[in-house]
Amino acid sequence: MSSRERRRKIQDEENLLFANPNTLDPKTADAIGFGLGELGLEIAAADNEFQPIEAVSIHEIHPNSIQPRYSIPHDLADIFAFNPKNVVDIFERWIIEVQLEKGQKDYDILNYLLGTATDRGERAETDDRDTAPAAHVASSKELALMKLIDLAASIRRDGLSNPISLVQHDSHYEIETGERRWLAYHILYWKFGDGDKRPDGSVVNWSRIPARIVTQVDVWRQASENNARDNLNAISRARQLALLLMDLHGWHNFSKLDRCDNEQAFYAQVADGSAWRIPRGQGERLLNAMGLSDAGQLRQYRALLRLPGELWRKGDDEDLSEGELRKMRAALDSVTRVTLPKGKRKKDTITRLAADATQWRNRLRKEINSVDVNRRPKIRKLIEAEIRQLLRLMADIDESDS
Amino acid sequence: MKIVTLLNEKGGVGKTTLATHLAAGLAIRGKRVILVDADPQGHATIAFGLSKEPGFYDLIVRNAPFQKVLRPVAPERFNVPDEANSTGGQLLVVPSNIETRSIAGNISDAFTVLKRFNQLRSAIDFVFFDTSPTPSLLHSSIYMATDGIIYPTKCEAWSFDGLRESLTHKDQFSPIRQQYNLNDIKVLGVVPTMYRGRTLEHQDNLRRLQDTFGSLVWKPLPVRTIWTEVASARRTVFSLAPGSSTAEDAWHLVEQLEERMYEQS
Ligand SMILES: Nc1ncnc2c1ncn2[C@@H]1O[C@H](COP(=O)(O)OP(=O)(O)O)[C@@H](O)[C@H]1O
Ligand SMILES: [Mg+2]
Repeated sequence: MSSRERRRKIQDEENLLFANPNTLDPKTADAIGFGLGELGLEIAAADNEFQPIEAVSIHEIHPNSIQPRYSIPHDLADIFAFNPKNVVDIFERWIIEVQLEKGQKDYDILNYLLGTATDRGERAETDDRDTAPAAHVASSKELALMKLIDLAASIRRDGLSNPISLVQHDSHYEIETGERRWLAYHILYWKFGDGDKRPDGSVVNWSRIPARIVTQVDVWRQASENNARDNLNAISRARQLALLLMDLHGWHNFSKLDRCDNEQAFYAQVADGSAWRIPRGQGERLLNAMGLSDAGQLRQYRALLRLPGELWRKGDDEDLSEGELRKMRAALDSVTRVTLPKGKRKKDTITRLAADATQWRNRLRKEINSVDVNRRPKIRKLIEAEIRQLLRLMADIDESDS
Repeated sequence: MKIVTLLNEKGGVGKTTLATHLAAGLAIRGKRVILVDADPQGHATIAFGLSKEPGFYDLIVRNAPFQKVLRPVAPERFNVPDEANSTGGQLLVVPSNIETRSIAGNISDAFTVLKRFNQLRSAIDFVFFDTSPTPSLLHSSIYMATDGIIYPTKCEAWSFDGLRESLTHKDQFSPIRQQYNLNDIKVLGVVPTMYRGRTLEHQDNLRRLQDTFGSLVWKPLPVRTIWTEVASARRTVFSLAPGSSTAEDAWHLVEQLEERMYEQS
């Protein structure tokens, strides 16, 4: 190496040290101190990548509250309160609710786990009540439960191929990626305990899950993991976008989740696209991380952050697409634009609302017709439920006024 | 990255001497080289005057980062004096201490070493493993990682026992490696060391060696007191006696390795 090259190398290292201390992780800084120049940085990169796999007790693991995906339906998640002690309670309750829905008492998940069940609730995938009115249509609650149970069954059958990633804290671990796999382990531990003999003859302790320990939750790693598995619905993707935007703008600018009224409010902190622009030069990275192709799509996902709360939760539980949510929102917007008549009698109000409702329904029908034909019955049901609730709400307000 | 292991289930045959000098020679020639001291006695570590902690055990069992474990060898210790710092090469050592003995009992599977060093695949050109004479699960793990093996041996009748043992052990790993789609381990050479060309015994034994292993047998390395001197000076023969005939012998070893490493088997 010539002395000029050497000087440049030293300069590069100094630039790294002084130019942008925020982007320099401790390991890189270490490597520079290591005195090997470029090779030191490469070794540091290798070290960063290396994450040994450990078997961690599932009871010491807490879900990450800002994980973009909700594996558990919202009403149950509220009870769950991110406490691992509640996991089995949640499953019991979940199963009872599904049993009630199906009117079926002998619904035993053990059969599914052992692979001996026949009814898999798959028909719901081709949900169309017009053509198959007699068939049992699985609710979103049942579908979500079955997906977890299927995951548990496949882990029991084939093993866990991809370890989850965890951040270690003083008294517990926090999930970076792999909440569903962790829940599946809870199901398996609940049903089979430790020392379970798997179909292939090997013995497993379900109380411990293979995990990589990372130093901190990295929302970009989370995003790439989620994209790789292509398993986020529209609401989860909106959450993911919000997390990435918060990361780009600096977490200190935002309130923590427990300071927000609800989880949506936390993500909605970056709903305003003009206040929280995509930083210059980061658009590409953001699109890649989100698995999207243009800025228009980013805007559409960002707009989801402002959905009415009920729609947000429903959209998440029902795995509605961004387009469906956008249309439902347009429909609901026209509903809420109706102003409450002041000083009128309740009866008049209801009559007026009913008249308006017909008008809304016509407008809605137009919206619904632009939705994918397979999803129409489901969307219609959801929008109508939404309207009923609104009417009820308005009637209540009116009553308390008079 | 190529991984080369110095093996012989016998001590004092020149494993450490070859490991340090092959590693140093390639580093002088511009390669990025890691020498892993896998012998609890830590002779390769001492040979470069390095501290023994943290060491190989920390890397493999405690999962210490490479940055904490790899120790750069100062160029003046291994490089030819006036060429010091003139190439882009680097020599790094993973030290060893008594804990290395416990690695075998603490690794989960035979792929631990391979997986760990694969992390450096693009950053490093050569990794040398200097092993201990006593076989263990650590050796198995090294067998799963290594691309080639060099067997130093003395030219004494009883030295060949260790050699035979080592070769049998290597063959035992072939089916396992195949199962995991790893290439067969290449025998890079059998190196007669501490050769006294004037004694009939050594001549005879060298011939026997050549009859058995044919072209795998490298040019014998003559016995020279300078080898012990450079070791106690914590240097290489390249840095301490660059113009000597022993330095020339050492360069010849480096060239043999380079040739055989890249020739098609
Ligand atoms: N060609 C040689 N001539 C003389 N002494 C040698 C030669 N090669 C190695 N030695 C010395 O022999 C001793 C044992 O060699 P070493 O490389 O440590 O063997 P091993 O690692 O197989 O135990 C060392 O003191 C070393 O300096
Ligand atoms: Mg030795």
